[in-house]
Order: sequence, then structure tokens, then C-alpha cells
Amino acid sequence: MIIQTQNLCFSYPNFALRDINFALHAGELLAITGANGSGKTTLGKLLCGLLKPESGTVLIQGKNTKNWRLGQFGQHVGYLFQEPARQIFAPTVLQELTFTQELRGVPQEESHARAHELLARFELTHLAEQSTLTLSRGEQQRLALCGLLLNQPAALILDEPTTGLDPRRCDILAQTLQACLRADVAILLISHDMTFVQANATRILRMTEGQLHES
Amino acid sequence: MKVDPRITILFVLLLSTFAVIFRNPWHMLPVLVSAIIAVLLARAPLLKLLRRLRGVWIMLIFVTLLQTLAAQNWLAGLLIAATVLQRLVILLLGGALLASFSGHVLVQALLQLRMPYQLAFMLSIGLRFVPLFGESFRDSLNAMQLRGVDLRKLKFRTRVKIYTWLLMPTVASGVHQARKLAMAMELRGFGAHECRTAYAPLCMRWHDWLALALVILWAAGMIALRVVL
Repeated sequence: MIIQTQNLCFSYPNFALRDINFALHAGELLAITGANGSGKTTLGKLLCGLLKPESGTVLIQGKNTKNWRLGQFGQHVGYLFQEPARQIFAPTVLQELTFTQELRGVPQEESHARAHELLARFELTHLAEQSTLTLSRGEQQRLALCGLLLNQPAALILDEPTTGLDPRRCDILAQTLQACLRADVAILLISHDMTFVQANATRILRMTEGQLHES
Repeated sequence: MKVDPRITILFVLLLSTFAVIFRNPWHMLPVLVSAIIAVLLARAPLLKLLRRLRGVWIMLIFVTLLQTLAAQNWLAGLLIAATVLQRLVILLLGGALLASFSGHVLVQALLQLRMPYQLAFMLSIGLRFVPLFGESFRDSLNAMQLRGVDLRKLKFRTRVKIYTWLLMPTVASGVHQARKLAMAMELRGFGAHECRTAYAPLCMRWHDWLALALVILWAAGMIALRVVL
């Protein structure tokens, strides 16, 4: 089991997530669907440490994450934001992919080789030396996903990953996710795109007013 | 009873001017005391502002320490540090005084002080963007850590490099938001008519005139103090 929640609760002044219990296994793509404001993104943020639960626990690879720092979450879970521009920092596309690797002590040649492999898979090779400020939303989305995949996380949490992607890029995303599943990565997909969800998810849960239901 | 925002703007301008031109901590002290009294009387959201500006306090302490260390002897350094600290606190208190008014009231005050509408509006929007910048910077910092970067474990030099990189998405997102806002405003006909009317124009009442007289007397007193001491 990669991610497990036990009676997870969280509330905003006018909204609450109540008793969220579910488990995400290795090699599983669990999709969470639901109306706007039903709490899907809040759940995603709780699972990656961006929000702290009021009560209940989040277990990642069997460990209680109560006292984890964000950096520790990041070493196990990759989180793709709804707004990908917020998770792109480096001046150029290639640097964006290599800097975290180099901070972790991966040799430059190895980090560059891995970065180029991912850029090729997501059809971003021609942009490698380009400034990250000039990328379109779809390109930002793909680059942010590349950045997450480079870390080889045990779980991926993707918040609306198909937004801004054309059908062909959606297919590439689907193929990449299937490859991740084969590599035993657990994926939590938060999406409104029912076509994409039904084509790729192994299990679907529905979020309604802060509660999870089997779909 | 709230004082007319135009009087507050005048007071804050005088506060800031004195904070910048006075170089002696003993001259600055009465200015600081006046600013504190004004903030208390105006019931300005000082605590809220202090909480929001937690990072600024670290900078204040850093600047003060730097000034102390840069001086020739420790006493001179301490006096310079006290001046710098008082100056920054006075500027912060001035900000708190202005923050006790809502954006549209401040715009109205600036307009009635004969400032062009577009400039006054730009100022009020600019003030609203400050917390957004902070939020955006925090988001980027979180996103960076979610990439598995444990900032606490990095060397100081690497950390500084990363912080400078984080400014890029923050500034880019600010510019993007400003562009979107400008487009939305244009689409809603901003600036289409030069003649503007106000729903609630500001009127000076007797206590505002009294406050104005007090501010003028106070300013004269501060200048006299500066000349005499």
C-alpha cells in the first residue's frame, strides 16, 4: 500500500472533508471525480503535505506523515498542481529538470541523460534551451510532469492533468501513466475529464460534499 | 471616530519625511512615539500587519545588526542601528495607518487631493497585489519542496540561488495577473469616460479640521525640535 488515509478530516470555514478512508496501491490508478468545490483538490493537498489534517492520519508507504516536512513528502509523492506555472522555477527547460537531480547529488551527465529522455517522451526536446517563461500552458503542464517523473516517486497525485492538453498530448500522457503503472507507481488522478478517467483508471471514487463514495 | 483619510495621508507623508530626513535617534524618538499614538487612536490593524510581515522583522534585525557591525565603534554602531530601526518601524506604522482604510476610500481621498484617477486606481491595485505576491512566493516555495528539495539541508549559497529562482515564477505570475486584470478592466470600459462621479465623496467635518490643525502643529513642533536640539 503506497498511500492510506484513516478517518481523515479537514475543514474550511464553510466546507469540510469528513472521515476520508481509502487506500492507494502500487500499480493502481485511482481516479477521484466530483463537482467543483466538492473537496478533490483539498484531498490531494492533504495527501502531499500542503495541508495538515485536523484529525486522522495519512500513511505513506506505511509511515505516519504527521511530522513530515514538505521536502520529505516530495521524496515519496509527486504532486502536479492545477496551475503548473507555479511549479516551474528554473530559467530554462533543461535546467528545470536537472536542478533537483543535481541537488540530490546525481552526476550531471546522468541527470542530463534522464532529462533528455523525458523531454523526448513528452515532445519537448526542441524547447530544451528555451526560457520557461515563454511556454504555453500545455507545455508547462508537460514540463511539470517531467519534473515529477524525474524524481521517480512512489506515488503521483495529478490535479486535472489533462487541462490544456490536445487529444494527441492526452494520449501521450495516458501512455506515460500506463508506463508508470507498469513500474508500480501508484497514481491518484483528480479530474473532471470522464473520457480520460474511464479509459485509464483502475478504480473510480466520487467526491460529494466532502465525502468519498464508490462510483 | 475616524479621521478623514486625506488627513491621515498627510500625516503619513510627514511621518515618512521626518523618518527619512532625521538622522539622530533622539530626534526620531518623538516621531516614533507620535506614530504609535496615532496607530492606537486609529485602531489600525497593527497586529494583523505584524503577523503578515513576519519575514520583514527578520530583515529588520538583520539590517540593524549589519549597521552595528559596520560602524567604527560599538556605541556609534548602536546609535546608527537605533536610527535605522526607528526609521523602518515608523514607515511600517505609516503603512498600518493607511491600511486602516479600505482601498476605495483611499482612492477617493487621492482623487479629492487632485490625483488623476488612473494613477490613484493603480496605487490601490498595487497595494492589493502585495499579499498576492507573498502568497505566490509561498506557493512556489512549497512546490519546490514538493520536488523533494529539503531546503534545510542545503548549503546557504545553494539556498540563496534557489530563492532567487523562486522570484521568477512569483514575478511572472504577478505580471500575468496584472495583464489579465488590465484586459478585464478594458473590456468593462475602464477610462471610456473622462468625467467621473463618486457615490460617497469625502467631506471634512469639525473633528477633521481639528485633526488637520493638530497635524500642522505637530509637524511644526517636530521641525522646531530638530532645529533646537
